Amino acid sequence: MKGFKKVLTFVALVLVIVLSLTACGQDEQTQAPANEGEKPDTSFAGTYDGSAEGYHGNLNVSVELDETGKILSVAVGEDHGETPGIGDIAIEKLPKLIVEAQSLRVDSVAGATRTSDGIIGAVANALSSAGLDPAALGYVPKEVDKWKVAKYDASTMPEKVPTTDTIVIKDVKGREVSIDVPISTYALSTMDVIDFIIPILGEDAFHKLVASGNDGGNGILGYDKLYTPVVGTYMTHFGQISEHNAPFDLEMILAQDPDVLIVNSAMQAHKYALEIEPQLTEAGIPIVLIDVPGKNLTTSTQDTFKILGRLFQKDERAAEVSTFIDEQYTLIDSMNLDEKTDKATVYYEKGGAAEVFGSTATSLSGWGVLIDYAGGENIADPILIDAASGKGSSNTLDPEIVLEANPEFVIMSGGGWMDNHANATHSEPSYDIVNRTGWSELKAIKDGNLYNLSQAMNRSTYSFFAVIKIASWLYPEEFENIDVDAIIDEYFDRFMLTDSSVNVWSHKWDGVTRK
Amino acid sequence: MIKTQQLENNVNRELYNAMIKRRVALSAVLLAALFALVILNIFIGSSDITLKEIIIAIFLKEGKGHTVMIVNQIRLPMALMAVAVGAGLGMGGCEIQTILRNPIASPYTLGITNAATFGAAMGLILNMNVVKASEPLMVTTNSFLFALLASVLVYAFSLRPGAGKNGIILFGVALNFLFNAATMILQYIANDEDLKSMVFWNMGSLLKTTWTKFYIVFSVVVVCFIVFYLNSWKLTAMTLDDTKARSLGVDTQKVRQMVILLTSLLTAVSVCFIGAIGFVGIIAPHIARQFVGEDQRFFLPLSAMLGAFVVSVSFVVSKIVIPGVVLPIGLVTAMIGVPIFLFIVFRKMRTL
Repeated sequence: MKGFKKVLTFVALVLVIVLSLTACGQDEQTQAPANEGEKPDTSFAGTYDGSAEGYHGNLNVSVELDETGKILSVAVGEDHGETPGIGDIAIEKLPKLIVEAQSLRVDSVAGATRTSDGIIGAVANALSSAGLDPAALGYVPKEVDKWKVAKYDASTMPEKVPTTDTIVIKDVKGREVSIDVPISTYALSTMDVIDFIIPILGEDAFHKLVASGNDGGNGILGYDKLYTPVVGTYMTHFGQISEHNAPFDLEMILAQDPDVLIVNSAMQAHKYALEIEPQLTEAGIPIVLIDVPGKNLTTSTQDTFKILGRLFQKDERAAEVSTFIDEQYTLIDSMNLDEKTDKATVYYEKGGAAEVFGSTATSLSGWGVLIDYAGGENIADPILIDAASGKGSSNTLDPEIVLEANPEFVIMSGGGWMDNHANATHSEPSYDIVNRTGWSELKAIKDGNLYNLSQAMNRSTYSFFAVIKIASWLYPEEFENIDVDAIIDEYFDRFMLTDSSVNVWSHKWDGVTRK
Repeated sequence: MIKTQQLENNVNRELYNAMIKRRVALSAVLLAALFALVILNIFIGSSDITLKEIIIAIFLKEGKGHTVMIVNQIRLPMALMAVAVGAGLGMGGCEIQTILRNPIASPYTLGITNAATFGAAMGLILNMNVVKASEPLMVTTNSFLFALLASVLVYAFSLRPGAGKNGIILFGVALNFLFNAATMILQYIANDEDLKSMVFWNMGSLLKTTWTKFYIVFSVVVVCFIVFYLNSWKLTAMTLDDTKARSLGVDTQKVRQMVILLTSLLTAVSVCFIGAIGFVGIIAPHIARQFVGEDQRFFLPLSAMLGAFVVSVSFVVSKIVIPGVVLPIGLVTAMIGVPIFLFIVFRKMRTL
C-alpha cells in the first residue's frame, strides 16, 4: 500500500494548493494596530495615533489629549482615499464635532456615512491605545458591512409584469427581433455591457438583471462589490451563464428565464448565442445583438443606446445619452485633428515591462483605433498595417524600430477596471518599461510623455472619454479652455449611479525611474 | 495418466470460470456505478430542480417554467454525451495501445486532436468556413473535417508496406507538431477575444450538446464497439509481437489499418463536439488492464466503461466545484485523471 500512500500525499498536495488559491481570493481583514503598551493611569497627555477602515481603505487619525484625557484635537491623516467632495466634508467636520462634544456619539455626515464611521472608529482606536475606554465616550463599534457573496434566492426574482405589446427591433446585425414589452427581466452576454443599461434604466438595470456572462475583468464580482452598496442586493436573483468568451450555460439561462438576452456582437459571445438560438426561441427568449465601439468608434455606442432605448421603452432617455456622446465626438471633430500636418507620433503597448514585451496595435485594432481618432500617428502603422496580423492583438514590434521611430508619446494600457469599491486596492502602474534598453533616450521618455489608460475605456461606453483624454495629451493647445475631466464627471453625474471616482481612468508617469 | 490430465483440465476449467465470473461481476458493478452517475448528472445542474420534478419531467413531460426543456433537452443529452464520449475515447485509447503495443499511446498520439484544434482555430480566428456550413456549426464542422483529414493521412501512411508501429507513432508525432505550429500561427494573428475563445475551446465543454450531436457520437461509438468486439481475438493476439500474431493467422497490417481508421473516427466525433478532453484515452485502458489484463473480450468493454466513468465523474465535479458555474470538462478530467494515472504508475513500479 506504499504506492497508495504516495498517491494520497499527491492528492493532499493538490487539495492544499487549490485551497490556498481560494483562500488568497478572500479579502484579508485589516488589523487595527495593537495597543502600544499600558500608560500610567495618572496622565494621558500626548498625541496618539489610531486607524480604522473608511470608505476607500484605511483612515489614520492622530488625537491629542491632555493629562485628564480630554480630547484637545483630532487630525485626519492626508493619506486617505476618501471620495473628494462629500468625503472631504466629513473629514473636516467630524473632528470638530468630536472635540466640541467630547464624545464619540456624534452625527455622521449625510452621504459620507462610511467615512464618518471610519473617523469615529479611528479616534476610538487612538483612545484605547492611550489607555482610555472609548465606550465611556459613547463609542459603539460599527459593524463594517463587508461585501459578501449573496446567496441565490429564487423568491427575490423580479416579478414579471404582464406584457401589453409586441415590438419589432432591428438589432445591429440587421436581425428583426420581435419582443413582448414591457421587459421585466433581462440577461447579458457579458457583464460590462451593463454600462450601456445603467444610463437607460438607472437602478433598475440591476434589479431587472437576472443573468450574465462574465467579462474579461471578472466583472460579475467587480460590479457586485461596486454597485450592491449603491442599489441594494441584486445578486440574490442573479445567475452566471458563461465565463468570458466561453459557451453559454443554456440551463442557467432557461432557469433564470429572462425576457430577453442582450448579446455583445463584437465578441465571440454572439456566435455562442446564435448556436443556442433554436433552443432559446423554443423557450421564448429572444436574442438582441448590440455593438460596442470598434470599427465604428463614433457611432456604435449611440446606436446601441438607441436599440436599448426601444427595447426598454425609454427612447427619450436613450436619445439624451446618445446626444451627449455625439457632442463629445463633435468636439473632437471640430478640432480637425485628422488634418494636422505635424501629427504627434505615438507608440502604444499593452501592459509591457522592461523585459516583457507587450503587444502593440495598429490604427485598425483595439486601442490603436482610439489613438488614431485622437490624431496620433501610430509608429506601428507603416510596418504592421498591411501585415496579416495587422488586425490581431499579438503584434510585437522589433524594439529597434521603436527606438528608431523615436515617438513623442508612449501610451500604455492595462489595469484599471471599474473596481473602485470599498475594498479595492489600487497600485500605481510600475512604468518599469522606461528601463528598457535605450528608452532613456526616447523623446517621449525625456519629455515625460508616458501615459497609462484604464482598460475599462476600451470598447465600452467610455471610449469617447479615452479619445478626448488622448487628444488632450497629444494636442494640449487645443484643450486650453476645456476641462477634460469635467466631461466624464458630467457623464457620471447625469447618466450613472455613482460618481466618476469609481475608476482610475488614466495615469501619467511621474518621471521617476524605478528599478 | 488420462485421469490426471482430465483432473488438471477440470481444475483449470474451474479456475478459468471463476476468473470469468469475477470479470463479469466487475463489469456489472461498473455498469451499475455508471448508471448511478448518469442519474447524478441529470440531478445536478445550475438550477435547482428536485428529483421528483425531474422524474415527472422525463416521463410525463410536465413541469413548471422551463423545467421540461432543461431536463429533457439539456441535462439528459449532456449526461449521456459524457458517457458516449468517455466510452469512445476509452475504446480508442485501448485499441491504439494494443496495436501499437505502446503504453503511452492514445488517440492524441496520431495527431488527430491537434488537427481538430487547428480546424476549430480556423473557424474561431479566421472565420473561415471549410465547407459552407451555417455559422453556428462552422467551428464544429471545421474541426471534424481536419480531424478526418489527419485520420486519412495516418491511414494512408499505415497502408504503405513496411509501416510498422514505430513508423505510425513517429508519423503521428510529426502531424501533432505540424498542426500545433499551424495553430500557433493563427493564434499569433488573432485578437484577444478570439484567442480567449480558442483557449476555451481547447478546455472542452459539454454545454453545447444537443440530441443530434449525441446521436452522432453514440452511433459511431456503437458501430466501433461492435467491430472491435467481433475482432477481439485478433486484437488480443496483436498484443504479442507481430511475428507471433501472424503465426496465429492474424493479418497484423490489416488489423492495424482498421483500428487506425475507427479510432480516428471516434476521436474526431468526440473532439469536434466536446473539444479536447485530455487524458481519458490514456488512463481508461490502463486502469482496465490492471483489472482484466489484455483479454479483449473484457479489456475493450471495461476500457469503454472506465472512460465513460472518468468523464461522468469529471462532469459531476465540474458542476459542483463552483455552484452555478460549469467548469470546462477538460480541466476537471485532467485534474481527476492525473492522480489516478500516477497511482497506476506507482503500483507498476512496485511490481517491477
